[in-house]
Amino acid sequence: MTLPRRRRPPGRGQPPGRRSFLRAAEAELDHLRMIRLRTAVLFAVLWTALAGVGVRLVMLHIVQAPELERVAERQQLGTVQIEANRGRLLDRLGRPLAVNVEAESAFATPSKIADHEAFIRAVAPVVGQRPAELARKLAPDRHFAWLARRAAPEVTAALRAMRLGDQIGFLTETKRSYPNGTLASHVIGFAGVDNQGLEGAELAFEEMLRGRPGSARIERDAMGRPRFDTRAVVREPAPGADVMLTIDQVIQHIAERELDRAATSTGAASGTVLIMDPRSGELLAMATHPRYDPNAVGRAQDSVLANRTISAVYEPGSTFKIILAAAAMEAGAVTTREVFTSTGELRVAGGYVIREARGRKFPRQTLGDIIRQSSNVGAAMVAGRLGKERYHEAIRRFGFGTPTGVDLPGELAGLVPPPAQWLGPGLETIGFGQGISVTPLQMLVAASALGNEGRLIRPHVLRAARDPEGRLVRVVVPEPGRQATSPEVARAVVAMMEEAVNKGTGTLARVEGYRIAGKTGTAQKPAPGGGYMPDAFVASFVGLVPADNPRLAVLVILDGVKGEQYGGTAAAPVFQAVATQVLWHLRLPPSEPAALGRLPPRTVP
Amino acid sequence: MRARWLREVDWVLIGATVLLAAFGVVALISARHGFADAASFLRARTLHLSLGALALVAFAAKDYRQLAGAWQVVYAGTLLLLASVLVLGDTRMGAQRWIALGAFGGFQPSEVAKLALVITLARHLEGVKSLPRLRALFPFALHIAIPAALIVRQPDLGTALVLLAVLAAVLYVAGARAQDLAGVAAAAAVTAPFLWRLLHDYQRRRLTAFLDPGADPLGTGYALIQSKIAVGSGQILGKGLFSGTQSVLRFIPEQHTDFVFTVIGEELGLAGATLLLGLYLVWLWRALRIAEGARDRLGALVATGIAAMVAFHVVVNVGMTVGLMPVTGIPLPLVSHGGTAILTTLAGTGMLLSIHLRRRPGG
Repeated sequence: MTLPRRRRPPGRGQPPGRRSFLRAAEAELDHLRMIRLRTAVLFAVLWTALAGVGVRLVMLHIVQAPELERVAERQQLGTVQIEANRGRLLDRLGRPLAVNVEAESAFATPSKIADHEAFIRAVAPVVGQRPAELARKLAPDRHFAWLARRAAPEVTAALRAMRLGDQIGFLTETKRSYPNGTLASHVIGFAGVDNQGLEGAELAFEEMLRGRPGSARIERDAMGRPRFDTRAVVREPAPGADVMLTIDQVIQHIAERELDRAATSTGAASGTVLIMDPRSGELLAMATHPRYDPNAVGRAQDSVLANRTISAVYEPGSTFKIILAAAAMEAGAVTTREVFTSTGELRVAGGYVIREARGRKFPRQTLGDIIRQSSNVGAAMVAGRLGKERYHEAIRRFGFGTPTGVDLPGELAGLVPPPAQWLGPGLETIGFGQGISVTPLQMLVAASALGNEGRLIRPHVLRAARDPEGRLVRVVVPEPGRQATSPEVARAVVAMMEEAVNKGTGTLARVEGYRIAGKTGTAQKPAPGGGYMPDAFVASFVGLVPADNPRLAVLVILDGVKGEQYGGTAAAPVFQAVATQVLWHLRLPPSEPAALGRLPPRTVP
Repeated sequence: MRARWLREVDWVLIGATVLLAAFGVVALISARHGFADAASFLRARTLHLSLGALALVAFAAKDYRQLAGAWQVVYAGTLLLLASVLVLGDTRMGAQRWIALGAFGGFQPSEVAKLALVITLARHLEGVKSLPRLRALFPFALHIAIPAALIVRQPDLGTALVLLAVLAAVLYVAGARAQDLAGVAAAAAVTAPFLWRLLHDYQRRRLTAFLDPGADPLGTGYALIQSKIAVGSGQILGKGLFSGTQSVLRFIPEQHTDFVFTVIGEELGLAGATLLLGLYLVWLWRALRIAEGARDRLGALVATGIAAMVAFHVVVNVGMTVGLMPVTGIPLPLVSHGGTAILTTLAGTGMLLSIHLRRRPGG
């Protein structure tokens, strides 16, 4: 405390010659005056000190308050994101392919627990923890402690029944689940631990599925630990939309079952069955072999995760002759009546020799016969007639060398070398589908164009999306597509393909009562070091049904078949099995009503 | 007789005391709100206030002139008590200030010493009619310096400073020349750098933290910064009782004791803080009025000493909270939690009432 300068107490002057008692009284009076003055001075000092404090308070409370308030908020409040419920993935009829399962987690707010011992006695057996361990977690100065994470419903129900008020809280956490296991795994893809799409449709439609996360303010204590009991929602999360795919779960299952069966019987290492509506581009099934379980992605090998129907390429082999035929007719390079003679081999530029498979000879064959019998020499002659430039142009027009634009991630463009690089017998081999790399989906889309009046459509797996209230937020309308070839040429090629199934290499693809157009393919597999593998083939079949008005385009690929396995013997039967069941499933009427009696007995699928 | 007692007693002082105690209870409830031990704190406070009320009545009823009849004995006893703390005392939070007392928890001799020394000093000075020169102050300075040194040893610098403030105020009212007191203060200022070296590390850190809290915001400066944030964020009307986020979220350490003012500042705002300071001002105004109107020199000096003690506590504690003064462990009278301090303050209030009841006619 500061001390003021001493002043003599105010008083009258002291006249000399006073008597002693008067002087004593005077001294007493002086003393009283002094005390009065000095206590007043002390009070003034006190006033000054308190006024100083008061000014300081005003400064803090009013002048600096906004800044201090901000500082307080900054250290006390945090924003946490509230995850939105992820939309489901559904098949074309609304059957779930990917769903969320809820799991509740229980936590305690130790600082609010009134009686720790009683709390621990009651809760420990329910959550299956030792009381000592629980007591350690529930130290009274804490604001948060997990009791049970993703607990079984009976555990959370028992905790709720205790009516512990704000001493205890629950958080619902969701987890992505794929109820059909491996079914359509490559179409669906999978989501990561934070419910974020990482592959397939889960990734492709992430934006629609994810929704918009909400936010909440949460208080933090001096240690920076969030206090979940203080959570205040600022913005509710907007759940994601349900995404409906064009995939038909039943068709997908049929395709997978037949593919798996064939892979086992032929020893194919991998395989594909693609089924598409050639008019709309809707993919009804994208079967792959092998598959993985999206519920347990961690256990799958990386090589299995890729969707080989779009992110792997193969040399299409003889199925590609339909593109050659269309190109040749479109260009007017050959007529349908023109006759080609195959002596079993053909010497081409550079001294290379093209040979028929299995030593066959075709003395007289038209373009249709070349398709029907799958003559390599015939195809080579047609290709030679067509020429590199026109053939290349047609190949590009059918979409090869460019991604199809399917709405799934990871699609490849394939490899169509420019004509300048078609060295040696390049033109001729590409005539029968060797020396060019395509994705299975590109092959299917090109074949579909032939069944769709020559129009090349964009394939897709998204059918519609609807918000949680059921409103459609997105409907995919098929695009008309662009003309890859003229309708007349397309129809003519389909007619040749129909002959191939009826009387050619594809007879095992026949389905009683239905007109089937198709083309077999047995391609050599490029060896890693150049050249082709001697004993591994890609057996494939591409078909359209019904041939006169195709509703289904189907591509079967069995990759890595060994020995005497050809497109006609290994892949065509798969087409037959799949088409038979899918036609029945879709109730597509037979092309020949007379054949009705020979349909398989009606069973409930 | 009874009617006269009722008429004569200083109701204003009693009213201010009761309101301050009530403020303290509210602040305690809010400061411990959300803590599991809130109930036990409230029970303790109830006990403290009850014992304090008894002490208040007892001291008010007793003639202050009979207090410390043989002040030398009381003085020696006080020194003994303070010395015994150093030997027997509990160490709490790094300082040896408490003597364990079983169920009552503990008791802080330095708090009692403050009141006892006010009385012994007043007694010591009572017979000295004049303090004409510096040398005359020496015995009284020694009177306080010895216990102050013992208290510093605990270490409890704050309480020692309280004793020095009491000494200065009592000497001043006793008639010491202002220039002598100023001379002592100047001498203290000159020796301060040497005293600095005698301080404990934590005391030096507190002083540097006061000068620059930002230098160590998570260490010594932490409490200062956080309490300023708390008080300031209360704004004019405060956030409402039990809604002070700084307190609920425990940004402020030991909020129910030395930093209790932050609860009021944050939750009741400038209005509540001003009201509390106003109550102290009323209380101190009455105490000094009682000193002025005392029948004799002893009463005046005792009342002055008690007033100086409480005033120093208030100014230093609130000043510390709002960042005007360095952090010292000085409680806010009647509001901070602490049994001995509350008991002592209420006993002192009782003495004031006693002095008032026996005041000079017309005083």
